[in-house]
Amino acid sequence: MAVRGAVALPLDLAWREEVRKASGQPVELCYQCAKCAAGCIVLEHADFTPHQVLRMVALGLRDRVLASRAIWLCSGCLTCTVRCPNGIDIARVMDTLKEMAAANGANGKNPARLFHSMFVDNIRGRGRVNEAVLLGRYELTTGRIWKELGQGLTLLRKGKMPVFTPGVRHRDEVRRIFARVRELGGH
Amino acid sequence: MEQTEGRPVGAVLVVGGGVSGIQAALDLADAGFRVYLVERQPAIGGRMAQLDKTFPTNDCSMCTLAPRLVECGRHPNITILTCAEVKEVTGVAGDFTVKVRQYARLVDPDKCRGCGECESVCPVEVRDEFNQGLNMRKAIFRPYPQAVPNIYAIDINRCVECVECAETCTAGAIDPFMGDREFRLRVGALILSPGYELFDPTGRPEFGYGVLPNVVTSLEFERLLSASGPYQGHLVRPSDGSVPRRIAFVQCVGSRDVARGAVYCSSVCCMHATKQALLAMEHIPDADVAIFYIDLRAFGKDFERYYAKARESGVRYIRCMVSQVATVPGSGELAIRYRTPEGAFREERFDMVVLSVGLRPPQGLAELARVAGIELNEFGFCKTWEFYPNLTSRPGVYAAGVAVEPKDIPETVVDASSAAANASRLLQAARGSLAATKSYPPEREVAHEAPRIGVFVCHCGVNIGGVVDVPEVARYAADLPGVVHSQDLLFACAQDSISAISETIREHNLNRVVVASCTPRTHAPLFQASLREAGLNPYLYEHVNIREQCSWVHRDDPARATAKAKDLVRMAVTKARLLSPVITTFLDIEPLVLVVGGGAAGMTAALSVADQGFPVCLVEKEPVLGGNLRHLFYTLEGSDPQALLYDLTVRVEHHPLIRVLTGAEIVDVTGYTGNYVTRLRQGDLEREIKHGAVILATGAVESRPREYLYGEHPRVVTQTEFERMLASGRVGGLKNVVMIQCVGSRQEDRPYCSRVCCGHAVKNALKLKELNPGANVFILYRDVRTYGFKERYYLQAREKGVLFIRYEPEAKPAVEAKGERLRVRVVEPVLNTPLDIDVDLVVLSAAIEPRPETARLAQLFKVPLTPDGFFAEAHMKLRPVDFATEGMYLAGLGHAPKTLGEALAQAQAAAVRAVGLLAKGRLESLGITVQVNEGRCSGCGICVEVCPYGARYLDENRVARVIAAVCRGCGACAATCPTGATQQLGFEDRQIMRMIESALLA
Amino acid sequence: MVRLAYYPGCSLEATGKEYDTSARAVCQALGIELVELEDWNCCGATSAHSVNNLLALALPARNLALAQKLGLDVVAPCSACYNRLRQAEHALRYDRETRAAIEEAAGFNFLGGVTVLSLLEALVKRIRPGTIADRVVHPLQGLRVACYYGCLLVRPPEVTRFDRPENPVHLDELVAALGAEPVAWRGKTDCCGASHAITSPEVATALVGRLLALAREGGADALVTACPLCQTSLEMRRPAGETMPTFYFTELMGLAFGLPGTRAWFAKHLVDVRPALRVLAQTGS
Repeated sequence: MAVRGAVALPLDLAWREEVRKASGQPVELCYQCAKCAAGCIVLEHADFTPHQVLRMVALGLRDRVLASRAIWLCSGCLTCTVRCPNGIDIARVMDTLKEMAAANGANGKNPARLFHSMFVDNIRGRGRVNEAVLLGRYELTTGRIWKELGQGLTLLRKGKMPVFTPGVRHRDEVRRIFARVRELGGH
Repeated sequence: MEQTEGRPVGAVLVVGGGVSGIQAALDLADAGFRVYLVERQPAIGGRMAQLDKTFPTNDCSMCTLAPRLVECGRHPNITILTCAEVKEVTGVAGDFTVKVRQYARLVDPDKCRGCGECESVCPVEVRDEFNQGLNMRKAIFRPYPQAVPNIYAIDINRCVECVECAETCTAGAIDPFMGDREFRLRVGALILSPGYELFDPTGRPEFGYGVLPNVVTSLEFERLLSASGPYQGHLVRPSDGSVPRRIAFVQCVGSRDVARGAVYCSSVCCMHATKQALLAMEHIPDADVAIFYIDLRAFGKDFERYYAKARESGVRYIRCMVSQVATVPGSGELAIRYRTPEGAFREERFDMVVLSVGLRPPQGLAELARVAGIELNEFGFCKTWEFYPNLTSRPGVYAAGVAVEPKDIPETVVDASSAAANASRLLQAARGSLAATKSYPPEREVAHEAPRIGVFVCHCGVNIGGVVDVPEVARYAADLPGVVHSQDLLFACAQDSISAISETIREHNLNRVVVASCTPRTHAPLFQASLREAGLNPYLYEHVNIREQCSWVHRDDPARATAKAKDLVRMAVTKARLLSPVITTFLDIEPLVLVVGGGAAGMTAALSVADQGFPVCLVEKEPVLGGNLRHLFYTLEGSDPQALLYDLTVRVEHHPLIRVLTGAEIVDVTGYTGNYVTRLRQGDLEREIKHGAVILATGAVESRPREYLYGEHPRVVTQTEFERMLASGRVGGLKNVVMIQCVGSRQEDRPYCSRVCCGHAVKNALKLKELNPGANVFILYRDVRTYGFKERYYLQAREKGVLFIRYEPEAKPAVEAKGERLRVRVVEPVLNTPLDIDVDLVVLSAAIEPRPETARLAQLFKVPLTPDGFFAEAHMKLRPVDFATEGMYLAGLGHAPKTLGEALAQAQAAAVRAVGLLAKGRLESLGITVQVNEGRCSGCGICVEVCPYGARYLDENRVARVIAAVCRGCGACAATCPTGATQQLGFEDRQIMRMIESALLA
Repeated sequence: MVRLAYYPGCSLEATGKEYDTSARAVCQALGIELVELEDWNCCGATSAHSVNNLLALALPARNLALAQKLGLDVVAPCSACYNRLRQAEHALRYDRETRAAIEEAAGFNFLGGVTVLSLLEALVKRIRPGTIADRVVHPLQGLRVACYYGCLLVRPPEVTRFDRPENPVHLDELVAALGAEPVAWRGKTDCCGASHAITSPEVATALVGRLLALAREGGADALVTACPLCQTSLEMRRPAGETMPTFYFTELMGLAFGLPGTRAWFAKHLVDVRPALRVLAQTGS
């Protein structure tokens, strides 16, 4: 877990400010105690630890952060958030970085990113998520359908994957939420 | 400056009987004021009494504190009010009326002898708060064995009123009908030093405190280590009593924790954990100890060495905050996951986890502040002013100790003395008006009596008694020739024991006393005083140290330790038979203080002494006053050092009691305590100053870096030089600035931390950001050591965007010239990647080093230096402004690097110590001075050469003489005298020879 | 009679079907009337907040509006739904600026009368203490279970208001009331990686494997959870060879209460639950 090659500073130190504003979190307070990393459950699977991500934010290493797998691997379990001595909601920062990565087009192939956007599309369309439809579409898109076929069939057989579930009747209301969020500067 | 209207009241009320309150009380009492020491607990002693050992000397805490406790208890000018609280403060500075409520202790302090019979019959068990609740005590209790006053109290909330204790007490001391008492005291000033509380670690539940029994706080661990603790000093796990072999310390629990409302650093925990780690390894030699930390803050005098020693001893320091302490089911083991120095993450198991809990304002401080009418700061501690140490928002009310800011023991003692100096200054006009004088009964004539020796052998709890068979030693002594009484005592130094010794002397008509206990350095004077109270000359006393010389060094061989103790006692009894009374002589003290050094500390000390009513001569080698203060333009807290410089200079120069000699160099120092003669040269003029005491405040300097292109490139400067640039406003063009910390500090040739540089860098970074918000500041550091409330400025710097980048000492930053500009390369350790920073300016935080003339002055004044070349005080913990020689004091950076505010407090502390001496008016000689048999003296003069104190001289007849009041009894002359003409009192040849014979007699 | 609005959430219509049926059965048995929210919508779950923060608050807020109209507090069995609904409630109560944005986006005014409850919370705090123990007819004697709270039920504590967030005990107390033995173990609030179950199955499997190992270290025969995402992940993404089942706490309640239908619930598990329950047959429960 290291950034390769020498980095010439000063970099884009203003970006830290952008992350601070977008997340509402005091990212600049991090004093690198590594408590977040010591308690992070997905650490072994990530390319960077949470405190490294914060350090990269501090140093303005924007592209590396947004291209990292670490931000998508954050499962939002909030362990780091709850324990951070500087009161930084690190999970929220990770979410913000995900939003930024998505907007920026960085890391477009990340499966988590794809899944989250399909999930939200599913809500936008029906107001509720149909797990069978969502999973089917996702596995088809990623080409993983064959690998997951066995599990999928088991779920179907157990009646845990009903293909027809009711959506929201007043879908207009849900769509209006999406529209207003977009107007308010969101998605 | 605070003034009083009319003549003030010559009494001071001190709130809080911890080490801070004790120090303030003793200083004021010595300076001629009446003192009321108000303590909420049933005994004084405070937190220090709960500590096992103290860093960085590993001295036994109780052993250094106990003599002070007893001194407080015995001082004729001090009244100790326990179980008491201040309820109301009316009046003005100089004349307050204080309402005190004293809660019913239900035990009559005049009748209780502290025998403990009541305790053994009391049926109620209560968690023992002195041991942090790790064991039980009774509802009738004495907080700890050496408690002062050494009497019992009833925990009224727990007492079941069975009156078992009242029926058992033969002294009739139990008074179930005692009520609370309220009374008013008239005092001129108040000193508030109520201490601190510890952070409740259940506020950080991830560490498992309160759920996992083997997770303990640092103070609980201290009690586990202590011989007077719940397991008698055996370090065991609370869950199952097994020996913990793997111990983890978690730092910053409730400190530096923005999310838990404690922004500040608690200052003491890093060294506290280091000490406990070392002690744990002493208890359990194969222990594996790890300390998990963020920044290791070893910023105090000799701390860095101590830290290095701990690392060499195998303590593992792991720079990673712990996220969680989890239990491994069934095993009692505790799992901690952390980042290794290599950057990998691993889980390790421990038997015990110690949480280094932070310091919080004491319970009830808000109420005390309301009653006393003072303001608290944003963290709930007493609000004081950087340049006016101890001054609160109410004139005449001073604050000291941790209740002002987290700090360790020496700084607390300094702060307390400084507060005493403030009170002594305010009440100067009433000095001595309410002071009592201690009178002893006339000395009994014993010269013609046959020896009647009393022997007292001390258990020192388990310190001695755990190894040496103390009752057996006492029995053995009873049969020695001349001994008419022999007994053992649990704690000989406890106040009740000391009175018991006096009573026994009278009862058995003793004329010699031998005490076998701990070191005579701290304890002999206590026992000698009990001789005086019984009407005996105090030199009819012999002391045996069976702790250091028997129980401690022969811990694993009790039988031979006991045999050795018997030998030593026998030798002492032999010598005691030959003791004769010593009549001490008195010497007047020259009532003037010489202050050397005209910087902030020197000027402050001079002003404090002069305001306390004694004349001062202030000597400065430069043509102008000010010292380093002339180069300071800002402080972290926003005060104006140049305004202070102006204020101090004007006041010093116009003070009627201060004579200022600038451009003056000291050439010679003669004389002795109370009567020094210092010769100095001022231009072509030579002067002679007679003075009773001296305060060395000679300061230190910023060193000249020898690396990072300093002196080679114009854009590499020191912090002090940068501060001047900031003050002149020439920083608008700076875009990128790199600061490098620890330049010349914490390395082989200068193995200490310069303490002020982290704060200095943060201060200058914030100033630059204020003047030029667009500038980028990078601070390259090893550990950020913004201790105490300075942490808030570290936080502020981060808020303002200052970027802190750590470097490893093995990979120092590299500075390379790039024309007008510079490039700094540093390996960023979190990402393990090199960073290249192009900058306009490199600022070096250069080490603070002693002034070159310090060594010469040390020789002239015959005072010791530390290996680092700073002045060495008498005792690291409890005598931080005294030299070992009475009458010599120190203040400021000559002692060690420190901030301006700290130097000012130390200067006031030194001042009140000097005033305490001068206020005595005369000095009494020691009892172990030398005497000359004139007939035998050959006039060779060897004694004059070897005397380090200048106490010997040859008279006109070439006969060697002694100035008794100056002789410190070192014995150098007696040992070298070729004819045996010089004999040291108490160490006469015949006494020593008989002792040796007695030793061989075994 | 306790009346609560019921927000099942999408999972309880699919992978968490047996949680839905067991929850309804148990509530009925305890005299709690559940009124399903009319025309509820998805809370956004773990995805919406990765995409947009306001969306992640406005989606659940519409459901709060529905509950407000009913005039009932709303109970959400699924931990993820509970957390999202609760986050919305918290923002509406304490964050003036965000409240305005949420109200604008969701098109309603929050009046402050609606409180979001997890099903566990409702059973612990809204019925008389002892009711559950009194209702037990087949004590689950001998069944050793590791109570798994996961993340979303407890964190962040200022939002969930969960007591002792680092060492929660409500579920332990509940299963103990059923006669089962809650074991001491150290995975109570660690993440199971359910949000990675689809996108990074290998990560999910690693986390599930770790949790099952910790449960075994504590001596458990099974896990108990209050979250359909956790339950599905724990059974579906278990490493090869793992046979430890994960129960919904409502299933165990149903079993102890002697409710009909338990067989049908257990049949939906991806892990055979019978070996874990065999101990009950032996103790005669």
